Amino acid sequence: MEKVVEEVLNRHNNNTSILSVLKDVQEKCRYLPEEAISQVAEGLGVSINEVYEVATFYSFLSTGLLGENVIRICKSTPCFLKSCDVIVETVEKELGIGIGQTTEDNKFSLQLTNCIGACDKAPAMMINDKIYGNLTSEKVIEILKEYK
Amino acid sequence: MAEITLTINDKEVKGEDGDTILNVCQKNDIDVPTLCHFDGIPDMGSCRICIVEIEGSGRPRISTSCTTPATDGMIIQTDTEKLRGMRRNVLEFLLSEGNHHCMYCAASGDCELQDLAYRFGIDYIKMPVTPSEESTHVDSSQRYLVADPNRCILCYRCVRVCNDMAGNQVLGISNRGSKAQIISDMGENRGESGCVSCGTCVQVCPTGAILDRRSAYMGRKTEVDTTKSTCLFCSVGCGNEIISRDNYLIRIEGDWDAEPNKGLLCVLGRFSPLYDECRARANKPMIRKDDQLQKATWNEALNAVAEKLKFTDKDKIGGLVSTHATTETLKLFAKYSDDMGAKNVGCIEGPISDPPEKGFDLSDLNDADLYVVVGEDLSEGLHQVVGFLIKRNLIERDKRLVIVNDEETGLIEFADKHLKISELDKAIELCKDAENPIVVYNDEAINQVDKMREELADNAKFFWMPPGINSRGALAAGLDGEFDPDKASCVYVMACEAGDISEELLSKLKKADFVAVQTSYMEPWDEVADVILPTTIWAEREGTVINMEGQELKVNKAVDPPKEVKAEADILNALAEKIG
Repeated sequence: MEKVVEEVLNRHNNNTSILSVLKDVQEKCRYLPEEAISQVAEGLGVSINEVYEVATFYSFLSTGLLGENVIRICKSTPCFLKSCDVIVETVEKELGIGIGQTTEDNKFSLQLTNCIGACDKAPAMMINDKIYGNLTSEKVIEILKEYK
Repeated sequence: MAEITLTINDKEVKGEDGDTILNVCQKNDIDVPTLCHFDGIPDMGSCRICIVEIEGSGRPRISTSCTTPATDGMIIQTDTEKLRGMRRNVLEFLLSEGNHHCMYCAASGDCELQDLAYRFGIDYIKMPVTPSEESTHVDSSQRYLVADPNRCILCYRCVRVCNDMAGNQVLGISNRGSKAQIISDMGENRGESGCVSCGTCVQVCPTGAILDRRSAYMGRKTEVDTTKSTCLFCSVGCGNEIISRDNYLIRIEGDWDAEPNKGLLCVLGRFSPLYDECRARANKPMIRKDDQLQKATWNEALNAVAEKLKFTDKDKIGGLVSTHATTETLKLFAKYSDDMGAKNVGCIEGPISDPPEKGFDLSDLNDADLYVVVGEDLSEGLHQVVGFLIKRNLIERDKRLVIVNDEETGLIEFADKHLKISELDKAIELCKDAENPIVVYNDEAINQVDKMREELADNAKFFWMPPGINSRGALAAGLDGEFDPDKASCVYVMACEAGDISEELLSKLKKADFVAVQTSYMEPWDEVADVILPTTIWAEREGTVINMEGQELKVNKAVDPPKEVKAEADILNALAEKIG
């Protein structure tokens, strides 16, 4: 872990953008453990809180360990109007976990996210980097099968 | 600075380049309601109460006055029906989001949110009151304060003072939107976090979200007495405000207008005197009879002391003083011991080294680019406020901190380098390279600093951290010598609050024939004293002290002492009269 963070910091050499450093660390480590946050803060010469604030602000950054596949269901206005709550319910039922939780086999994590820019195909969700739109309960069940 | 002219509420007003709109309004006595704004800390516009209308080409632009720079020719309205409506909405959102049931809150009456709600006539809230489910955890893990996030309006004042003013970098915000919450470190309980209990956040909280445990529900600002004074717990000499009610001490606050601390205090000055002082007060004169301290009248006690002092050989008389005392009292003590011819006189903290710098200005810390702290731990014990003043400057990237100490100190996590005393040469080299280095040191490091002084000459400033409180006052009174307990058979101690006495000194005092102690607390003197003369504590004292900077600061009396307790100087004078 320490080495991974160090590598990222070196790559960003003298760049103080907390967000881009954290994004890269998350990509490598799958989440942002406290030690990584402290290390980033020290490396960038800012306070730990400043880094932690950024890490908890964005829905695509996580301070808790995530499952292999991260499901992010959009909760912004268009998706909300198109009943994203039904999608959330379906996923919860399919996987047996609630929002912010991870399945016991560490395969899935379920999260809500702010707008992912797929308003044209609301309601939408993301699994890892892939966007799925125009969702219905049936469609969600089919999609989840691919990942199980 | 260039002068600029603005039109505010149809009146022409002047401001300076660099002012925000709010600055200009305040300079011209134009009232703009504010909530998250706090004088002395950077503005961030989080509450939106101070919004104003700025006229432009199209519709008037609504902007927060605290963060919008004022420019020449701006036309601004601060109090229109539209703005009042928007402010009411903001207040309603704030009130609906948390637990703002005033009648159960200790801050009721002293709450800025409540004041604004009254001012804008909010007698009901249109939207449903929905306290956020996730922020119901009241954090009472800290010894001196309780943090209730349900009463928090996320004004960020505490976060800003913790980071920008006290430099402690403990408080922050986690998450966003309705889940946003003030956190300490990475979401730890305050009691377990790196919080150093400076208490600045308590003092700036506009609502009841951070409360001082002890003084909660003990009186509103209008019901208490506030006395401006000087903190008597270390030589920084922070300006404080002693809050009392009916002659009872309630709370200590920092004085925003005072130099050098500008509102900051540390745990020793803000909380410890009222929370941690649990020694029994000396409130009656006492004389030792049959190996027991027994109550006596003032006359008996003073006679007993006077007799001993009168008939003891002057070489056998010893005098020991605490630098808790005011300069006037120390001078009086020095005068009377001179009159008696007693030479064996010194401070409880030991002999004071008289540094070549007769004074300095702590605000110079803001202009330095390198801080070298030699021998002193500024993170705990005395002089913590100096630590804050240094730490808050370290936010700027080009400022560095070097610790020269064989031991680990709490400041190391903020430091760029930690050197051993043997590596002093490296510190000297760093100072030579720096433009404006400041060396902070205490008496333990006096030899090392002498060497630095020689090599650096005028290229560095040297800040001496005196061992006692009014050490410079003791120097002014000529009380810089060493007290030798072995040579004294009759000892007069002016202890004030001092209680941190070495076992060695105590056991030596025990062997003396006669020990008279003028003290505020029984411990630890009840073991050695033959006569106890009860005297005032910090809040009951009047006079001046000289702080580390060499400034004379006023100490004011906030409460009356108990009936049979006398002021230090009165006791000395009465005694002198009896001796003749």
